[in-house]
Amino acid sequence: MGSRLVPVALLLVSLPFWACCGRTTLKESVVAKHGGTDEFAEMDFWDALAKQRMVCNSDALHALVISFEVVPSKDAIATADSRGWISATEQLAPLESARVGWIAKAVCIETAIKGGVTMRVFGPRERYSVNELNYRGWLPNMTPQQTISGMQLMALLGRAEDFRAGGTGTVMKGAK
Amino acid sequence: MTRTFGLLLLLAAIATPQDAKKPATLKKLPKGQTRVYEAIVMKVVGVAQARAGKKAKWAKLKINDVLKPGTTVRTGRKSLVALRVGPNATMVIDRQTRVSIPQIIQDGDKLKTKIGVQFGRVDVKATRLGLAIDFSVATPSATLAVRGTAFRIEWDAIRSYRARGIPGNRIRAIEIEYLRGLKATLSKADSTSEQNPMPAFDAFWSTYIVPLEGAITPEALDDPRIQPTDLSNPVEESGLKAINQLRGGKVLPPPREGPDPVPPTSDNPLPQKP
Repeated sequence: MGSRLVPVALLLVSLPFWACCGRTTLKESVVAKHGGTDEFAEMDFWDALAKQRMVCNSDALHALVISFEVVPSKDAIATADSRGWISATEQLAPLESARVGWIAKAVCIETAIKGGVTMRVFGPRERYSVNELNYRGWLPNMTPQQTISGMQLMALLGRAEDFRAGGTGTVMKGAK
Repeated sequence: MTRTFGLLLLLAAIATPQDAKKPATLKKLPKGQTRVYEAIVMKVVGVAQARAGKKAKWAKLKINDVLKPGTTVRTGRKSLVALRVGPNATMVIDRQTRVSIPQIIQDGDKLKTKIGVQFGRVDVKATRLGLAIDFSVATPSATLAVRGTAFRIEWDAIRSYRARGIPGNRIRAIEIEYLRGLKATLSKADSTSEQNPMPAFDAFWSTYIVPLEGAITPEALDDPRIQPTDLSNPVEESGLKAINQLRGGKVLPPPREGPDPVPPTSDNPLPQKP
């Protein structure tokens, strides 16, 4: 009897920890309101994004697609998959808070940042991409699992735009 | 007669450029009298929109549009707007920037202009026209007072604010004096920032080391200093707040109004706690 109770008790004790490990889910996304294609909708999207304390996956995808002028596929996830921003097995819940990891990876791919020795050997993995952008001062010393605010994402994309304007501006080959 | 006429023409030709070299000046207004100026759009590249108030609709900007005080301007990606702000200032609003222009007035012998940069990048050039200048640029974390020079102010959520000379700034054209006693002179592409006021350190740390994380929240956008129509909250108050923050990271209370306290004497002792 006692031996059966121990695993159950352990499971019950660990439940709060499992709950803490989950990512925050937002009630609604900005792109649902301001997802239009005309210039007023795009500007309204940036304005609304700037006020977001936390960016969800669908908003981050929309911001990246607009910012890098990517021709969208059938949906945002398919676009991210086709550009190599996320791995084929990864599922991005639309309203779940976006991880800095895949955003940094997408930025490195689209701006063709090659990074240091490890990133050149293993490619633009999330961990190396975040480290590279931290090193460049494009991110405020973040880690791949952290979430990002709307204004931080806008600042990051602004730096990427400056870099592309004065840099190479080509998509890295072999990203996927 | 022909020679005299030719001589007169020559004298007129010489005299005209000399007159043109005279610095332009504005007439002082009688004390207590104010005049409201406007901003004019001189150049638009890409997407740029403006609205007259918080509840007004956004409208596309085009050359020669006139913007009244209280207008907010926003630019999109790869965009730029050049404005003539009042009689003495030029402003270039860079990409992905939100800027409000709460005040452009001449008050007696003073030109008062207030610009609020919510986020983004703005180049400002203010000139003296024979009048005193009160030109201030407020950002969510600092307020800068311009005394007749050209500079670039940049604010984002990662690096907070950064001020630097615009490309026309050749040699020591900008001098920024911090209240804690530090003086920074900026030449060419030098910059001074919240984390590193010294230009040399700012250049070093921004090149090699990741900047410190700024404690900027979305609520900063609601700061009354950068709101377009809130003229009741003067920039001087917010400037005091920024100055106090520079002094020691604390926001000190504003200076007390009324007469100075009377020093305690034997006739007038300090009040004792009950």
